Amino acid sequence: MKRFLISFAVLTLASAHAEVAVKAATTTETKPEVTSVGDSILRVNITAQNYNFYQPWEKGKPGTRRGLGVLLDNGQVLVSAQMVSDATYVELEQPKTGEKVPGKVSVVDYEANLALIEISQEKPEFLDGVTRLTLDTTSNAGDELDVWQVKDNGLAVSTRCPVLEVSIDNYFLSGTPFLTYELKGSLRYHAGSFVLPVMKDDKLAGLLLSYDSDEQISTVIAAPIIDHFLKDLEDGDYSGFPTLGMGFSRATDEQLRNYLKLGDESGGIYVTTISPNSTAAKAGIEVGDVLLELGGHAIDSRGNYEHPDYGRLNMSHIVRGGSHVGQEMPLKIFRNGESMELTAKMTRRSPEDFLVNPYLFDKGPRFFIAGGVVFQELTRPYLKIFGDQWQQRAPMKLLWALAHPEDYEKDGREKIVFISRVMRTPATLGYESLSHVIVDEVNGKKINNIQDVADAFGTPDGPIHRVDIAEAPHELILDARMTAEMDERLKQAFRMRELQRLD
Amino acid sequence: MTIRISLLKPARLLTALALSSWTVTAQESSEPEAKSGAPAAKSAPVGPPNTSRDLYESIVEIECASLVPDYQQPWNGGRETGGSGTGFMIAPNKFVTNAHVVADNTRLLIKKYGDPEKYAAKLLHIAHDCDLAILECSDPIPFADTKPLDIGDIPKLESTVTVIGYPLGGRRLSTTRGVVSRIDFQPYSHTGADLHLAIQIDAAINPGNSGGPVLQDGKVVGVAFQGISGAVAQNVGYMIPTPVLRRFLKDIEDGQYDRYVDLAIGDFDLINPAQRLALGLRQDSSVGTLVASVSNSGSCDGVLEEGDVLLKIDGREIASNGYVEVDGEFVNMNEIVERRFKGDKVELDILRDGQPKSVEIELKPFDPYLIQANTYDKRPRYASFAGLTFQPLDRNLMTAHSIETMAARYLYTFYVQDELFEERPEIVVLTSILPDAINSNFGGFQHAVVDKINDKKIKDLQDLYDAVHPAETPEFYVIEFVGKGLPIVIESARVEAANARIRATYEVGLDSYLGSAEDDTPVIFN
Repeated sequence: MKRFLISFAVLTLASAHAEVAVKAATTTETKPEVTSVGDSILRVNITAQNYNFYQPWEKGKPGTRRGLGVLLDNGQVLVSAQMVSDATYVELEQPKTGEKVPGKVSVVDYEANLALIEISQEKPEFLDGVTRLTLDTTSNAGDELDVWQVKDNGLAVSTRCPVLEVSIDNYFLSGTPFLTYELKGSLRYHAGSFVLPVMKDDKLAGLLLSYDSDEQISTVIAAPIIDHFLKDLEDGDYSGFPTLGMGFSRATDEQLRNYLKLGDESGGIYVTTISPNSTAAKAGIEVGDVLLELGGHAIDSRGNYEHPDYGRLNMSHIVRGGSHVGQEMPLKIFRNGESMELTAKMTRRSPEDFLVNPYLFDKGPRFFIAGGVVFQELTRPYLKIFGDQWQQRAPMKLLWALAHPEDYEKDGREKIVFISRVMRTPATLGYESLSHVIVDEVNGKKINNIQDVADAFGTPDGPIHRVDIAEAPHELILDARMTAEMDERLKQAFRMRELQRLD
Repeated sequence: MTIRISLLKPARLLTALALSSWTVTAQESSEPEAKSGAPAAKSAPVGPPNTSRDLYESIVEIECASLVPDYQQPWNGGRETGGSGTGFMIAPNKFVTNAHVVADNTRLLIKKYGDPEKYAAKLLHIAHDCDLAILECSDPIPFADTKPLDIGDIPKLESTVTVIGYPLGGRRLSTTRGVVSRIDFQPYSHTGADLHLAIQIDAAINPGNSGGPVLQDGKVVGVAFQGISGAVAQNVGYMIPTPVLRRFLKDIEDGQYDRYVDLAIGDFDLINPAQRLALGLRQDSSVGTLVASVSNSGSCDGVLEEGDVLLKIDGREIASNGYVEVDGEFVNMNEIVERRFKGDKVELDILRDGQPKSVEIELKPFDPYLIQANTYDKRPRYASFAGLTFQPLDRNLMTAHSIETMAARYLYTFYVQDELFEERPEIVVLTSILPDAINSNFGGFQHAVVDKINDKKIKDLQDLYDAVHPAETPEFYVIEFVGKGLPIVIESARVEAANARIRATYEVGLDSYLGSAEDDTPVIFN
């Protein structure tokens, strides 16, 4: 979400200097033209509504986003995922005529930051005359690409920019780096377009993610990633990009290498964490192993490999760019002074597989309210309500759970259930100041996810409910009858549709 | 509902208050100094001062040169600085001032009213936890005729008090006047981790007033010690009330200061009806507060249990919010414990599993909280190895190094609450790296917390020192850190040369200082 806002702000700034920038630029040119390439571009208008993590029964105020999409040869419109996150209404618009039709997000991948929009069945003729694009996955450093925009009058215009570098960078979620093109050149910003198609001749080479007007650098989602996304869809079932589920550190220090008896080996990275049930765990990789080769590529001591086209790249591209879920990949590791060959069957850890969901879009946070005590499952977006400095300011126990899930996963927790706040009712008298405490048990039942809380409240301990929390005062006691009464009143007073969201 | 850990307050809460300290003088009459053994002044004065001149002569200016330790480069001696405050005579040749006036001192001088001389003085006792100290003039003659001040009681709200001292704004004695605004528990900013009774007054208190007396009807009713600075507050000054001063003077009667004692429990207001019923309490009463936590190694360890309900302390009923009635006023039950000493006992009536019970608690100080208190009069402890500096984590260290790594912050914050001191009496942090070929790839480890060295758990700095000075030299030193998968590996064959090189280059005098009573005794220049 964050990245999205930044990109937008940067582009807005750029518009202020647009005229100057264009004149100053010598390597770029902006020329209005009507071509078949420009005819593949549609405006995309999105209304989006975030969930309120503080009052999880509510949605926030709807907002709008405008961007551009391109029609692909599968008849769907490609946009970035950040564009359609939490979308409540999707609309496509012909730039020239202003004609609009409703659309629907058919598939979205927030990690790869890609989404497809389907046109409403009622108006198939809307796409008549719109050019369908195919991909060009061959772009490399030194190539010239055209960044396309649509002016207010509906005219499509392009700016030619050279590719400076092909590298690996986060798209808009942290911790999920993908192949990125970096373009150099000043862009004149035209209102209403912050996701911009990037073309190589008459084919789609990528989607522009962000533009830095100071450096005049654009970052672009690279076509090979779009290609991977589309190929994944061919069987009608989207699996997503595979992940190793492994953390690593550089193994550059000579003393470390001697200690590990790496001897003549020159590369390899040191494995520091393995997520449970991940590709790496299933392949048999262990913490302390040194990963020497991945998918037949030698990994250097900083975690890079030699890509035949792009040169030195972060090894994450071998996994995300070069393999699909279900495929097998050979690995070579070094353990106890010997190298070993392993085979990994590629899997993907979905956000639900994490103790703390790394992101959550298009659905609300799970919660359960009892008498005014608000239970929630911890997610990374919840922590972000503490603002820009959330990594310093969010409650430290919750931050620790995010950083060290293994401490909680080892006793069987699937999610961290915590009391996010206590609403003031007669049932919760005396407990009002409690917040952000992790819940261990309810009515004697161990809590591994929010469903457990809902189940446990169904079986009170006689006339009371007992909630065991991980810190003082360790146990909260609620009157069962009063809790039920207050639930009804809260529903009424706060206009809650439900007192819970369990899935 | 509030959770209190007796008198301890998490340090980070206190820092927000931006208290600044100053010195004021307070004194008590005829308080015999049991231990000092200093010769009593020949002509012992009789009775309290009865003229302004007498009064002013009992109030002195204290000039302190101090050595502030260098936690960033702990092998250095520190930075010399100085300041001045106020003090007052409470017994022949015995002067009370604030601990923060004389902390880390290397030279103390006393200046008498109307006398241009500066007299060398000696620190007798210092109580950092309540910001009080007592000193004497090395030569008793100059104060032979000075009359000690009498110590009074807690002044009434709205009554007028006078502050006398040597604050900034001029060189001569200054007096200001105000009223008593509030009497309440307050954080004492000197340690940043202690909370005691304090009295707020609206008389101007400025730097230099610290340690000086606040007077009413010719008697000392408080020791001026801190205020709130900045634009947010005006005319907010605080003084240490006489119960705290009296406690200090009584504590040192046996010749040493034993610090405050603490129940070392957390309590929780028992307000919820369902909770009260479940604990077996009557619905129509408001007696009883919950024992929410009991700290290991604290006074109540093994006697109280989590879930007990406290009903009475020394026969006084404890209300559901933890307050007791003393002399018609409702005060926190900790006020009862505040006045007690190490080894004293309190009786608690409790309810356990619905059954009434009476238990006796022998009171003692609770040390683990000191990690969150500012430390004075001690040299920083450290061990340097292969250019890596290791230091035990405490408040001074957090501040000096601006430590923000998650593991260090977590262990520091929950050290007391989660009883992390049981597993690690000291949290040893890699605070800095003096760059050298042996450690050129270790940058990512700065401010990490040491977990193990060669598989041995590091529980304090001594453990670390021993682990890097083993009887038999291993081939590698493998240092593991909390929450980090990657260890630091150091080849022992390289260590000796690197140590010598680094110590010479960076002028690291001693490769370690693990603490010793002698070394912590300051060098005094008198």
